[in-house]
Amino acid sequence: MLIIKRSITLIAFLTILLFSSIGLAGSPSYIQDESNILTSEQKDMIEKQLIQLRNEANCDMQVVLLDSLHGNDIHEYSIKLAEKNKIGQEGTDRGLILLIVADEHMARLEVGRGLEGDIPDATAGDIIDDVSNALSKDSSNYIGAIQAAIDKVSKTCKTGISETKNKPVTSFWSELSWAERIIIIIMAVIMIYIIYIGSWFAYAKISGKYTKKEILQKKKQLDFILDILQLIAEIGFMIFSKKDSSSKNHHHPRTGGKFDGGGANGKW
Amino acid sequence: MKNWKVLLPIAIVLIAVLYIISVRNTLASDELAVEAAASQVDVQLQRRSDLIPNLVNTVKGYSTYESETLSKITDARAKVEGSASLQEKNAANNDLTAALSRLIAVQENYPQLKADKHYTDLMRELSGTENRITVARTRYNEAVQKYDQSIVRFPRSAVASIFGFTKKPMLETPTDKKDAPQVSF
Repeated sequence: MLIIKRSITLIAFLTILLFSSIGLAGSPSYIQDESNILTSEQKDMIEKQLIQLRNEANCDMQVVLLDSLHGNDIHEYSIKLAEKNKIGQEGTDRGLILLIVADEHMARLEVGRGLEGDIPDATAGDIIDDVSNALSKDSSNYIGAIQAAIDKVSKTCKTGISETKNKPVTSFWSELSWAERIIIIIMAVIMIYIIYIGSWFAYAKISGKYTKKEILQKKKQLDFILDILQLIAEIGFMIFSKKDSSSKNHHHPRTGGKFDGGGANGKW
Repeated sequence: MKNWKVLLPIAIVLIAVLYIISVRNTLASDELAVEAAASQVDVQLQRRSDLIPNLVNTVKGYSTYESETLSKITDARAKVEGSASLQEKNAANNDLTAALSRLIAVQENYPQLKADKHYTDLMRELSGTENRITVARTRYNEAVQKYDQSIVRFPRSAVASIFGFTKKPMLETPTDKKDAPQVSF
């Protein structure tokens, strides 16, 4: 069955496209806040700022909020976290992790290898001072503390300015770009189509109701529809992937960055 | 059947040779990793040592009474500078940490010193570098552990002794860091 073969190839092709563009399922997000110290609006706000920071200064920064270190040393915890998440583009290593521990009233800024020039330890200390100051004034003002830190980071390592648009994340579907949504829809349509084709030809063979000519005609018709589907899928991908991929990937910081333990920490 | 009797020993020898070559290459690259990690430790130790004269001069301006503390720091730094091996340098650095902790303990007596931006920046660089040393040292010890393990286990140990690979020493961590709980995710 040529048509079924072609449909399977098409689905395989689309699956590869989909996964090559998503492919970020296990990667860390901009804000790691398992105990929900921040509200989702606050997270959106910070994420926007972090995306802006990335576009303006080529810095990937992750904000991690913890309840407690459970007796761990903040240095050690922070470097292990950095070695695990590997925030920052590989090669340039311009990654940052802001770690805030709520119960122990501790904060640390872990600075990636490539940012040690832009943010030496003394500057990292100033940034952490801002965080501590904001939190010692109002112990629930995490958002203010984080924003103060991001502001200072963007001031110290700004290289250029570019505007960026971003949609807030609410669900799996809304996190997908239009290209991915179209691909998923087309995949579903093709899937249903294959089932339909399969059962139609099976029925035709078993019942013997149709003549060879009719079957051939039907084959041609299906072939044509399949062609159109493929065309739509390809065009859709070409148009939307270029437009959306940059903003979509923004939901995750780039990874592969290296850390050598630079940075500073403080208490409030 | 004749061919079989000739080919089998050749095949065995060939496999053995290939195995030895591959083990030697692994050991060589593990050894290189250890050396790279060692140079990282050295860079960070040096970096810290380079900060000391500046710090001593800054503190001198504020605390005329702490000359003993300062001279201990200067002496400890001289030991770091004078060390021949990485192990020695690391040990001397641990002494320097002890000397510096005395300064940190007395800094409360000099509010003006504590308020000096230059001093706080230097102290931040210093503690940041201390942390970098810890990180570099941990990575070095991990690299050594990996290398040492492959050297002592048979049959690799045989290959290692043929090519003269010997065990490498680990770097000692300061005592106060030893009891810290292990981080795991």
